Amino acid sequence: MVNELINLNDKNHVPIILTIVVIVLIMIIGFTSHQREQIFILERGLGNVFLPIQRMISKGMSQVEESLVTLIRSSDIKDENNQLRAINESLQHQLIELQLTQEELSELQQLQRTLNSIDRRDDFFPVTANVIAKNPGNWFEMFTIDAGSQQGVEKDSVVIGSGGLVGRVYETGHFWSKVIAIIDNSSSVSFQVLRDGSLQGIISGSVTNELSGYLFDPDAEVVVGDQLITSGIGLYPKGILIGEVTTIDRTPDLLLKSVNVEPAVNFNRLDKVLVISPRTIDE
Amino acid sequence: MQKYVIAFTVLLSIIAESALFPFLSINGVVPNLTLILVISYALYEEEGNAGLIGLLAGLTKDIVVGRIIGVSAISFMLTGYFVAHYNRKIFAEHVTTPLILVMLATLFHESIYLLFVFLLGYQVDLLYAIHQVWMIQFLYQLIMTIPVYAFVRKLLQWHVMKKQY
Repeated sequence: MVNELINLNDKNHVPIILTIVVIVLIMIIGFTSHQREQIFILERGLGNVFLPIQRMISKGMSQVEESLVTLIRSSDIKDENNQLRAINESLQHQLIELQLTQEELSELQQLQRTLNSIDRRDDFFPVTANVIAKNPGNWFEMFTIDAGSQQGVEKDSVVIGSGGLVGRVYETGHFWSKVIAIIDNSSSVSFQVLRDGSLQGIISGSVTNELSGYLFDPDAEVVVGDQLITSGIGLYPKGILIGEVTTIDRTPDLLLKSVNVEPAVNFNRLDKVLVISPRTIDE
Repeated sequence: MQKYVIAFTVLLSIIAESALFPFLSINGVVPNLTLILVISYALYEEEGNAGLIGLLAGLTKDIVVGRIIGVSAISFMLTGYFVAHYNRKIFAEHVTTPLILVMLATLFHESIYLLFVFLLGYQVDLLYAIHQVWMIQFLYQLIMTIPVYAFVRKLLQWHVMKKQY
């Protein structure tokens, strides 16, 4: 059926070929296990083949899901709910923005007095995209969106969903990109408490897809229900909602205050996302 | 012709897993259809061909939806090879055969993944792995095995799929 040059089904050759292939694959694993600057042409091509079909199916499925929900609930409730949610969202954004601007203002005024600093504004070019596929394995929380380098998405672009931070772009093809969620095992985000920007810390995902982290200051007064936003240190720009504190633990031997966080975004029901370009860190 | 049909079904299974089944996931777990497909073909194939089907299916899956390229390729290839190696000695016609094989292969696949994820320095949580893999993945996998296996058997009886050598 396959190659006539190497007889694949010669009983003596198969184990040898198998061993060689395993060794080559382990080398490929080593090579691809960390984020790369460029992806192979083969990867790009295959992604382009799969993209339209995946997009069609997931669009159809989310439509089916939506109509099922509408069937179960009466349409009035749904409309009202949507309106309220939209209002709530805009209010939440306003709240965050207001609090931030207030803080920023006083900080900047202080800075301006001491230094002759220039306010560095990040230029965001938001791109909207649909989530078209999800990594089916148990170990990574990754998904594919239908916007790529042609739409201006870059590696490490920041992805935002309805309500909060979703993650960052891992790889891009021409018309698709793979995104790592913040609840993934290898992701960590620096946060600050919305109520008081001086309370900062780091939060990371886990294999169990829960967000947990710790505060830099062990005596920081955090309460359950506190909202966390990105602090602007590192990859993510300042002021994106991450989630809400659900439990607080104080481990006496670690001298750290650890928190568990309920993400603001429902990762099981991701549909539309917004991609903004990465921060250029040039010092 | 035969190889195109096999390739087509493998592509279909990868698409279904990544785009369709997330809407039907149980606690975030999606059945590994490609693995079931590889086993079903391996039950009727020669060792080398079965290994090759596994290798190509795994590589495609890794490239299209995975993060680390090669892990599924290794596990699918070895699964295909071993199933084909013993397929003369096992009774492929009875439905319990693929069920048991799928269970063993799922365990093998997830163990290989766990091993590489661990060796590459990611955090692993064994309790979670056992809960997720043993309970949910196994159950979902077994439910999906019967239709996929029945489909492959029907497919292989189709005249286009008859071997010409």
